[in-house]
Amino acid sequence: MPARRIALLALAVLILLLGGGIGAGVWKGGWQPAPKLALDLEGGTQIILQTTTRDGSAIDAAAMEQAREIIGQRVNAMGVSETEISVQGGTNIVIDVPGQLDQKTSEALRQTASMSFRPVLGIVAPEGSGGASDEGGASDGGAEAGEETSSSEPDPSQLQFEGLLSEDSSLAPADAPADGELQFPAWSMEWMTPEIQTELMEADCTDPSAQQEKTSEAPADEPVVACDPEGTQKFLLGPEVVAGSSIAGSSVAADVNPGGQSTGYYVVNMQFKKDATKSFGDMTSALYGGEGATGAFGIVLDGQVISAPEVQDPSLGGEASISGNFSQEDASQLSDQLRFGALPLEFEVASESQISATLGTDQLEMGLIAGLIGLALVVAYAFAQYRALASVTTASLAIMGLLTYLTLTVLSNIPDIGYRLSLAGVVGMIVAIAFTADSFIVYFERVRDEIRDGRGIVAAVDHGWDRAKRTILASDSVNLLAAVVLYALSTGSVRGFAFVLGVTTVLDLVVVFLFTHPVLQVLVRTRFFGKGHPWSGLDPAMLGRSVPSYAGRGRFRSLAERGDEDEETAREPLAARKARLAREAAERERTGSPSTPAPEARRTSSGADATDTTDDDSEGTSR
Amino acid sequence: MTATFSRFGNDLHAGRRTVPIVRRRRTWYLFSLIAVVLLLGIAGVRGPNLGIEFTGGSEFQVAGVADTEQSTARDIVREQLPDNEPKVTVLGRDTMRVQTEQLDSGETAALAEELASGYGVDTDAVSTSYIGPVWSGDITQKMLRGVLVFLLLVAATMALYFRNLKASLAAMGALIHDMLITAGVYGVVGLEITPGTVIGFLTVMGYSLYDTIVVFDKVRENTADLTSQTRATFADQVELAANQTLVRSINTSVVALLPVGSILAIGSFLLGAGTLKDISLALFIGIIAGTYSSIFLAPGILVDLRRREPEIAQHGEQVLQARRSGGESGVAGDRAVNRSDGELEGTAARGAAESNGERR
Repeated sequence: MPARRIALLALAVLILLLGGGIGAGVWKGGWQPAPKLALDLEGGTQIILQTTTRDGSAIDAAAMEQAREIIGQRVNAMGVSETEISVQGGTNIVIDVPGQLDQKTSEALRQTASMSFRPVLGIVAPEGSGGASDEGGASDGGAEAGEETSSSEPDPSQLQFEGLLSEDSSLAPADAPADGELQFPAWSMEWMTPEIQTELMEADCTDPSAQQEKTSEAPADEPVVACDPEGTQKFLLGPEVVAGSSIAGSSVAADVNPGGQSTGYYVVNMQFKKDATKSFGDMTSALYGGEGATGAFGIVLDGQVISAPEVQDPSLGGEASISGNFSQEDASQLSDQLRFGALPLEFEVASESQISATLGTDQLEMGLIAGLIGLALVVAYAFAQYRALASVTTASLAIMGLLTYLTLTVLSNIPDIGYRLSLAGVVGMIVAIAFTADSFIVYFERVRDEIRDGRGIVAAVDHGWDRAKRTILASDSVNLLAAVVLYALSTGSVRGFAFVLGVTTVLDLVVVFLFTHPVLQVLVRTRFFGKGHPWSGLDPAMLGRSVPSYAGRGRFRSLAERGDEDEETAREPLAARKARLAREAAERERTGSPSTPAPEARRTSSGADATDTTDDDSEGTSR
Repeated sequence: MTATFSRFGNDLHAGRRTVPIVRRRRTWYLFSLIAVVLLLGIAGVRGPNLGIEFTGGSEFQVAGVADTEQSTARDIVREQLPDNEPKVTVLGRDTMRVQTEQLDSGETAALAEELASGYGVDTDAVSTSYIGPVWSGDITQKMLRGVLVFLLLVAATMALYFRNLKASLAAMGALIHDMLITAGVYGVVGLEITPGTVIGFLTVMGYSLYDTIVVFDKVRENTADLTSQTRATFADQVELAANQTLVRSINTSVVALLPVGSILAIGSFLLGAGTLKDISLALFIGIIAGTYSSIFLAPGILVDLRRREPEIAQHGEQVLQARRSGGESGVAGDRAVNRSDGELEGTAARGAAESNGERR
């Protein structure tokens, strides 16, 4: 099967796959048959948060991912649905919300996210009512760990705890506090004031996010009520002992039992900075020694208890490890959270825009009209310049349009990508018309050059393609490069444009290689194109091959002879022919093509592939 | 018309007609230099007109108003925020745009409501946006970083593709010219610079290179066997290549300008300001500049960069010598042959052409 058929077949398969995929997705549910629209076309609110650290240190991708999750929790806490949150351009978090965003949510988003270590004073059931209970599946979680400085259960629901202090309400409130110091050790039961107990009882952790905002606003030197992210536990925590910024680092390691064999689980190791070593050591010693209300401490991130390990060993050296049947994924997540805690991130609203749905619809409509007008103009210009050849351009643009639509639809339906078409994206598609049409022009002009040099039409198409191919590849690479750079470094609308530019550049290559060239190859085998009909756009006469009294060539041909263009190769002047032979020989040598026909066989080879031989032959004979 | 254009293309290809691109390159340099200095000079005096995305501020767009009276908006803003002088413009047919200093969420919501009732539209028809001070600094920095990264990567890619650092440098030279011209035009006309402008600007960079690659590809082809003949110098062959690709460059530019122009027309006349207009305007200016530079500047720069290379300089000498000694008999024809057979790459073949006689 000739290459051109394979190419066309591949294109058909590609279109069928994309179309079929979308069809199946829609049929199975969940997919939409068109690309989803971005906020500027659909209407809604977009908030771009600029993330910074207090000390100006760099923020890495893992920390940004943490930040994104934190913002996600906050937004969900406010009950805003269908929110899309993404990290763009390194340090920006973009929040897209359909409809309007109320003031409260918008303020909640700006808070600084921080981490703190606080001793656990008590744990109760998540419900807002009633007394303390022993819920949460207390288990002997710490049993299998314990070889390191401290180890315990990471999952608050599996936490081993003692001393439910809500029952000890008899404990007297504090005496006068000492200046600058906590009046009692942070783990002391003295913190259990009736007020905080009431708060503990009233708090409702079945919806953990409701409590989150309150918790994260609580001062560091006071006890606080907090929930775990799943809403299965309610904690009463003492004042902050160590701030998250005192974490020097954390890592994940495979857990080993005392015998040195791997248990198949993972542990999280964390190191503290010097200044926090003592505080952390004091707390763990006290908790280990039973001085605290419980033997556990809570790690609070952005108002939620992400882990509440039981102390198995006092940690005096500034290092600690948390164990407890972690899978690698769980361990990595906790480790990332700890590292994130080391750099409290501040969020500042960089931009907030709320776009009305009417304006969006208007813009989309206008954009599409502009695109259609542009398309029509390009097609008209192509017909003026390239006559019937322009039908190839038109068909290619149509295929291009179809492929773009299908690809964007698929990309918008894949949850991990979730592409949304923005106005800038629409502009990108319209600009793509220009780039796609340019590829054809480069190709067609190249073919015409070959005809001007005296090549037969079929040979000109093949030879011109060899040259044009390289130019198109180089140009498209530059465009792709531009798209990738733009996409990686930008935020918002620029990114939407870059995405479309990148996709269409790749599709341009697909269309040119799998459609335009094969179709042209097929077409030149028809009489109309192959013989260079005056309206075919490939007429050698029009390309100056038979203009009379041609300087330096010495061939006189009248306009009346135009009809005999097929004899062009036969009548080629000896000089030009020799020159071409030399050139072609040189080329064959360069490309290492196996076929090296004798000069006499020129007319049957033309530097084209074997399948073209017969066509070239017929071309050589007169009509 | 297309017939004459086509003949023009044929003539350029055969060398019967030559636009003095390389020969008069200093004229083109001078022309560009004057244009750049003039544009940037005036732009520098005027200062850039930055959109609120760069300066920070709040913007309101009221869509579908029946009466585009600007004083309504002005009065409302004055009443709500006494010491805040708004910038009010009409976009397209029925959209009002009001720009103020940075307002907080509460003020924004209140003003949006007032504007809606003032213009007698639904609150849903009001779009608001707030750009904080961080954003403006951040976006500028990112844009500059993007341009730099892109330039470096592209320079490397081009150097690899052409296997010649100087070709890459020449293309970069043309590219920088386009960027300066585009920026200059923006500054002189006082057009608002928005993220859309930046998109257009960066796309122009890709486009400008596209055009230059087409020309340089032909140059590479024409000069592949440069030293095996003594008819045409390097400069002659570059000249021929630039002329042969002239029609192609014009065609690609026209085709690129058509859709971009249609977005520009729709964007400016029907929608007023906005993403559509901003992107397409920068593209429109940039594509024109890019076409000019890829035809008139890039080949010239390439010749100037490479003509002192020992091999090329020596070959140039040989060509001149050959012309002085052997060319006497057919000086007039020599040139024509030179041009029309620009594609010929073997001296032997050309020698045969001469001796065998062209007529049979």
